[in-house]
Amino acid sequence: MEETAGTRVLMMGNEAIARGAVEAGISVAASYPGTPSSEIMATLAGWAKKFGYHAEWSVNEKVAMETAAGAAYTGARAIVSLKQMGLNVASDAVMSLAYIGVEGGMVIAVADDPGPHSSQTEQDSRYFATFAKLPVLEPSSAQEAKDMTRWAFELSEALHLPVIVRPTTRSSHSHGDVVLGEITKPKKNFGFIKDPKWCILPSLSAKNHVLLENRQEEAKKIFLESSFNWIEKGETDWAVVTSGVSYNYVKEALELLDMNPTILKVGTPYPLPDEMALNVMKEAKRIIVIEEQEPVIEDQITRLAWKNKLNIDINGKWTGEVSRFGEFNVERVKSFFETILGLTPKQPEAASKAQAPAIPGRPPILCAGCSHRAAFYAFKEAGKKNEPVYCGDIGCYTLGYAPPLNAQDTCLCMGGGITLAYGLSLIEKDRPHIAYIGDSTFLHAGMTGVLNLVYNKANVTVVILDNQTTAMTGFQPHPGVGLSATGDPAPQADLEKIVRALGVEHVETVNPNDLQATIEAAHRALDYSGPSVVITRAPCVNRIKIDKSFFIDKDECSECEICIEDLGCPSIIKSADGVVISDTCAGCGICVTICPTEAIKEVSK
Amino acid sequence: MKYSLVLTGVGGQGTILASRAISLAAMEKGYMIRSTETLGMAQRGGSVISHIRFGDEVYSPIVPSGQADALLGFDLIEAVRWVSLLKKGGVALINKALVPPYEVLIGESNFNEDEAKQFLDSMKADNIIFDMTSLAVEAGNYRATNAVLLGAFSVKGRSPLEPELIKKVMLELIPEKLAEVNEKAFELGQKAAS
Repeated sequence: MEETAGTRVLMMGNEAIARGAVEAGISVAASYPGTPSSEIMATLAGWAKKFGYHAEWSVNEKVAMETAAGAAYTGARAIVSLKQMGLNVASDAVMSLAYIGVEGGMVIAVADDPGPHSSQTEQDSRYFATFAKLPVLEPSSAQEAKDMTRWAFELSEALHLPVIVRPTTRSSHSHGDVVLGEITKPKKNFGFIKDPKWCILPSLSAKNHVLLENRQEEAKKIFLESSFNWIEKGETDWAVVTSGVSYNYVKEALELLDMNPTILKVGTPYPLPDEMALNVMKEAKRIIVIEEQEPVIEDQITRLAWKNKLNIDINGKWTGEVSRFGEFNVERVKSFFETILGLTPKQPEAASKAQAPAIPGRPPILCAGCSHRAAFYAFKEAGKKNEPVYCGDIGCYTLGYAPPLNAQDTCLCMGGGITLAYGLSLIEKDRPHIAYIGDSTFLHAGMTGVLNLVYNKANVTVVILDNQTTAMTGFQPHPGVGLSATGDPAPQADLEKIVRALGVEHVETVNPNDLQATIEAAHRALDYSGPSVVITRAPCVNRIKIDKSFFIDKDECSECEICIEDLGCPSIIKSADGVVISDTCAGCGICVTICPTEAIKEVSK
Repeated sequence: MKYSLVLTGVGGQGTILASRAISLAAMEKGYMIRSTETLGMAQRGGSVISHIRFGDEVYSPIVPSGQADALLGFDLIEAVRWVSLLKKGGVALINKALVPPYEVLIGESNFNEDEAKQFLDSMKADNIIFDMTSLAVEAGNYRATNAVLLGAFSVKGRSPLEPELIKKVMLELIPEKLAEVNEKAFELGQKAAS
């Protein structure tokens, strides 16, 4: 990485957040991967040795949050990065931490995912900030993502509160040109000073609740002076209030509409700097609030108008013109303005006015050669007679829900598959219940569920799909891999020993690519009365190179298409010449095992 | 000056590297840049799109409808999916080879390749459609399809980025052992589009 301040570089929003943290002189960075936040830690881990701070993938987000908090208790600066669901996992720690406070700057970088593109919910973490009463900063560009993160540490120290920096997918995963700032070396002379203020007892909470409220007012005052909030003076009797990536869409939509209203660009959506908003509100007849997701700013604007008895129109989500749903873009924002202002919609001239022909959808699928496919196939074979319920979880293997595998009947949250399966089994006593969980997810939130199965004598089969990485989010290591975030050797958690230690007696580890052995293991687990665990272990196909590929011998292929119908492998294609295996074959050989006419053969090198 | 383009394809085809190369080339020219790509779940063989915008002043990283100067399609189906972004008089550089989605694989789609091509030909844009995957295989590896497309874009994209600059930046992003294949693929793309 370029170190020279003043250099202009191309950076992803998440990289810019990492850079901001390094410029602020962090001592500790902790995270659990989750799209769209993962690149923050991936970047920080890559720079950790060079700049002398500790960076880690923690076991889960709650662990990461508490780790960062502990470091910040000493006066050191610490950052925790996660996605919005991860903030849910860590919420117990965050809510109390707002009452306890921090000594050194602590930044919680939480990436939201309007759309959603890769998430279970479209929740707005700015609401979480208002709930926890923590200040939140929302960047509109990569440059702001860096500058805000850097400043968030100072703010955190001024208020003695953790500060949330909240990018969204479109700021986390957007690149922009960024001018770098000076890097601060982490200080070394921090230490924990014993004090009753670190123990959250009810009497302290009652006192600190008042303090926390007062800090909201302090934050508002600081935000009045913040360079991340600004007013662009316009010419109309209406004004726009906007924040985050929406600011960009507002600018371009207004350019297309050829309009020039006053814009209040908010970088600190909570708490809103009241005086600044009032300056704009008092000079306008109408305020249009454009923010993605929930009406966090709009609610504050509405309260301000009511409190100050302002006779103005406020248009936004509560009046129904601005959507709460999905991601915004220039066209959507333009149409919000058109609806509110009663304008006739006009479109730029596109290359084609004709309706494009119907095209097939293309949802994500398991990769060619993915070992999860083999595991799903094996358990489907073994469970054929009894129609088991397959409870899934969060990871690449969620993609097994799709036909033809249909390997997930439920998917709720991290670790939820095991415990949902248990809940189902309490009611459906005669039906097999199978829970699929990945290796990283098992260590994140699955162990307690397995312990609960043992303790409460459940009859559930857990399948740990161990591909030796956190695949979906970009192949991050975890405690079962034997590597740290910074690439150093680390103790490797033995999943089989963990499961046995939790009290499971029927445990088997198999290579899923040995399909026959996996089917047999699946039968034994399903026949076992009591909690059973099968660990299907084979490295993620993206992390290895199998020097093999297969082809279909046309003379022996009966065109039964079982390979297509049962596996859904993207490399097996129905073409004008019959069923063929494409160049993308990863060489797992599962199709060879299931072909009834032995028509699938290895390509000789 | 403001230039917008989109790259559409299937997760795993190398759209991200191609968009990175174009963004870095624009960076070297000193433009303000906003670009965004599909990361996460969709990278597992799903429909992906990268948007790149650069110029004197740009804001939205997402290209608004009908405002893309160029559409780079790694796949015929994905090009059609996002065609509404291309402006009148823009340029479409599209790989004729396609990755069949599951519906097509199992023969449950009424997608008609010829109809799609006819539709693309009827657009008020310059269409350059050829089999880029075959050229990548000719250069040494089907994975170099993105280099073929970058080569075609460098000569036909009507962008202010010089072909040599795009090639240089692309090669800087690629591991050295793959440089030769990708350089050849880039040049085959240039030749085929010219």
